[in-house]
Amino acid sequence: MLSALLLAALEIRGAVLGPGGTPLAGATVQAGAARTTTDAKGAFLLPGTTGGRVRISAPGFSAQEREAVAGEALLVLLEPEGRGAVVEVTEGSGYSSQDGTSSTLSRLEVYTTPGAAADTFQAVKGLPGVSNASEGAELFVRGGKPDEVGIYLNGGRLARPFHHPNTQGGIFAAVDTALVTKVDFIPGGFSARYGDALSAVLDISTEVAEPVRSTQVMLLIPSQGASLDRPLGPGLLRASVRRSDPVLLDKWYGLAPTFEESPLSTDAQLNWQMPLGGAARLSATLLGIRDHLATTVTLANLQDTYRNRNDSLVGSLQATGTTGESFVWQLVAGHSRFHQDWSFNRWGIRTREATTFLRAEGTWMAGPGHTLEGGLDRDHTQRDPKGAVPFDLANWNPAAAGRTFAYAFDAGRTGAYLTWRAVLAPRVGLSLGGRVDRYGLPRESTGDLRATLSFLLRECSTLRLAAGTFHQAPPLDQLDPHSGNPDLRLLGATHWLAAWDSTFKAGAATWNLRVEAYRKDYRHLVVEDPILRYVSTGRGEARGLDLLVKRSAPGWRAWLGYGWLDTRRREGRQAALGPVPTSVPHNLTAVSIHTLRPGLELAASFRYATGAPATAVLGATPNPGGGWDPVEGPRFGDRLPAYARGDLRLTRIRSFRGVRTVLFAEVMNVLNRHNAARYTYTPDFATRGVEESYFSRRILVAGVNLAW
Amino acid sequence: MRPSALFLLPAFVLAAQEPAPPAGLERIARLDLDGLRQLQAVLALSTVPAERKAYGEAQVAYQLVAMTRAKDPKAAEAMLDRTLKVLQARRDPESLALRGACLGLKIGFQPGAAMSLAPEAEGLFREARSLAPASPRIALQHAVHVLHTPEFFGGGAARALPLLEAAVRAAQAEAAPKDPWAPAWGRAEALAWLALAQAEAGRAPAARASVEAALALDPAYAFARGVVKPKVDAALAKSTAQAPKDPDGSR
Repeated sequence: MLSALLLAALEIRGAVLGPGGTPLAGATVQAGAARTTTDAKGAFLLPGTTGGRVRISAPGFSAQEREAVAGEALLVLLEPEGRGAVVEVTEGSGYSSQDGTSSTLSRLEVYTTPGAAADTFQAVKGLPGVSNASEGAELFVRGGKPDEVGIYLNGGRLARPFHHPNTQGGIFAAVDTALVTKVDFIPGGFSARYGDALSAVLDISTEVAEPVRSTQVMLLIPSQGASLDRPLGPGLLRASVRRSDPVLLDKWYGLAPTFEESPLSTDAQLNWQMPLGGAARLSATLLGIRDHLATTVTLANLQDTYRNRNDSLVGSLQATGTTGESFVWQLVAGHSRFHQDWSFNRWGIRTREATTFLRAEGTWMAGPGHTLEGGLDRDHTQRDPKGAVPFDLANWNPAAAGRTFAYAFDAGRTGAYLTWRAVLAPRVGLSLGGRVDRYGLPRESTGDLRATLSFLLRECSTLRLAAGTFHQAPPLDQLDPHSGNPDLRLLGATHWLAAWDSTFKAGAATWNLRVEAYRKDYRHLVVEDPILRYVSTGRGEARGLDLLVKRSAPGWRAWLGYGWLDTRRREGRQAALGPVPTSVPHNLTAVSIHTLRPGLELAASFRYATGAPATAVLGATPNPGGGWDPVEGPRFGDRLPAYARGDLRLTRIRSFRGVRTVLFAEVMNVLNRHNAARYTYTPDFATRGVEESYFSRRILVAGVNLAW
Repeated sequence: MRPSALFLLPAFVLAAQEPAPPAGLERIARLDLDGLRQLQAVLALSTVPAERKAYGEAQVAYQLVAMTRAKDPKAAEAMLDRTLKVLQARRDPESLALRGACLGLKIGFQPGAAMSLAPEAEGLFREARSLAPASPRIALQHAVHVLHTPEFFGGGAARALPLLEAAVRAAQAEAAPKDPWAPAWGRAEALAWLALAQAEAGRAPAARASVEAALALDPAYAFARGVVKPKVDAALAKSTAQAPKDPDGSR
């Protein structure tokens, strides 16, 4: 008995456990020079040791140091290492915006970025890889056009998430940031989950994990909005209404009214989330967008009132849940309607478009480090244009000969995808995916392969190499059997990219560095043709380098995004491989947000971009009608002056009797720089002028946000 | 019951008996790092149903995160996220308050999310207090949250003091729970935090009495001895230095 007690006083015994208390075999236990490993039951014994500091470690787990006392059992539960310790397997390289340490821009930063007007799309434009080719919210990503970006809201595709939509996009997004909880922006090499997108993906979610009652009212000089979150039984109702009328801004500045009917924009959004028991939940999303305007314009030989009305309604149902412990499923069904009416004197077109979309997908955790994700998606669109336009687009006289039309056509796509994600080694991950799609218009089937290799260089430092092929249908305007060419081929692209991403702490600050090099090759781009209207003989290429440096610390947050782009395309009216409107080689955004004192923030931003390409007019020749025909130089061979804009924003946050008040004043274009939107010419093309951009003068915007 | 069945009764009683709660469960908030890690492993090995030990495990994790977040923030945040997930499934008032406290820690990892997390935590504390107004732990955790909230957002020492005084009174009035696994901590802890808030509010003599009362209840209370007492001593020294000097030098 005594010898047993003496032995116990000269040894350290214990057990090492993993998560959930499961025995951890093979863990190393070390006390000074003595060292052992745990057996199959996680037990260990260090004989001849009287106690002291003991280090316990195991691969993939955070090591622990404990004070051991001989004769007392030492029980150790090891926690898995931080998230960076094992490589995270994702595709391509993306930017995330949500409330989390892994996000590139937090939601608060979207709100407080000067010049972004609390618009998620405008904030995303500050990320490298997105060109400042225009001041609107549309995304020109790495030389691609805005319609090459797939935009999703709660799993459903959004065709026109902009106010006053045009062929490129619109000035502001129609999705209220107050409801947005997460945005994933993937500028290249995105996963096989996303079909019918050539350049990039923007995936927006308004889902919240925890119902919290809140109300927000936003009052700005040009716009007003309100949003609320209300628990509804076990579920949650989220709603938002916004209205914007720039005429108020014109009155504020004493400007002459430009519009006969104010360009009024309204949007309303509803999101209802309901738990179904277990981990299943149902959510419904409804987004309505309305834009009206009327203004006097001159089209060729006629000055008259141009009216435009756009109404859009998107509704979707989303169900998510789990089956067993390792299968997560999601079903999305939705429908959208878009009505557009424009008129100019007796001419005009009324377009009705209805789209139905379905998506079913699942993720199976096949084993430690192995995941299979797959799904089916289908969408179908019917378009119904009706109207009258002149035969000669240089003669809009009401008496001119024209054609009237009324017809309908439809387009659709059915696709399937499968992605395998595997941690091949603790520091090497692979994502390998493929998708097949069958398009109804044009009638063509495609197959795409996409792969990403991820290497964890050190904790929170990752290198990713990705490659893949992508397809997308040309815009419906170009596929239109009556005014386009339904025999066009699908647009195709190949992405190659290498991305390095590192996060580290220095003092109180967290730094995020990202460098990404890419190359994209396009095929079957649409070129204008005098006989067939459009043909698929175009091609293109883009290469570039994106850089992001971000510093986050209490008191001062700042980031700098720079993108270098070299892109050429044979597309549209560009008959040879050359510059196109998206060829903007240098883009820079710098944002700095300082907390002057608690509740008072001063933010500044600066954006610079090389001037957008333009086609110079070298001279003019008289035409038989008495006018002048321009003699154009090389297509997009000239450039607008460089774009530069600085914005300042002061934000005051106060809380009084449970009401949080955010007061802000923003000076947009603080340098009062007259940036150019395009060149204009006198009728004889002898003198060139400049049409200034939307925010081409110093503008003061002030507002208040009340939340309770 | 047949007489022969009586012989089986002790076996049934033994089989139905739960293992006793491990030592230290009632003083989790006062354990040092080694003590917490030992208790964490003991709880993991305990064969009681997961539901019974969930609060204790979550409280241990909360304390571990608070102690290790500076040294290993990634592992600490991962542990905090797992704990929040466990607590999200629980609707009892003590767990609601502990979840609120965990959200307070989360703000430390994500200062940018304070705008959304702080009101969420506040809502949880209010809900927990409405469900169990006599709980000293809920009042204490709410008070700690208020103490760490900037003054312009409705926080600060002055606003935390009434809550802490209520927590101390509730702890004194609370009887020992019948369930040995039920949360029963809070008396010494409420006194220690009250002392801290009193020191910050410039009430140094009262702070000294409070911290001494906390140490009298648990002389090994590391937070009270190592953190609160030096702050109270500093506040006392400051108040003595600021006291008006007797111009005659007779005092």
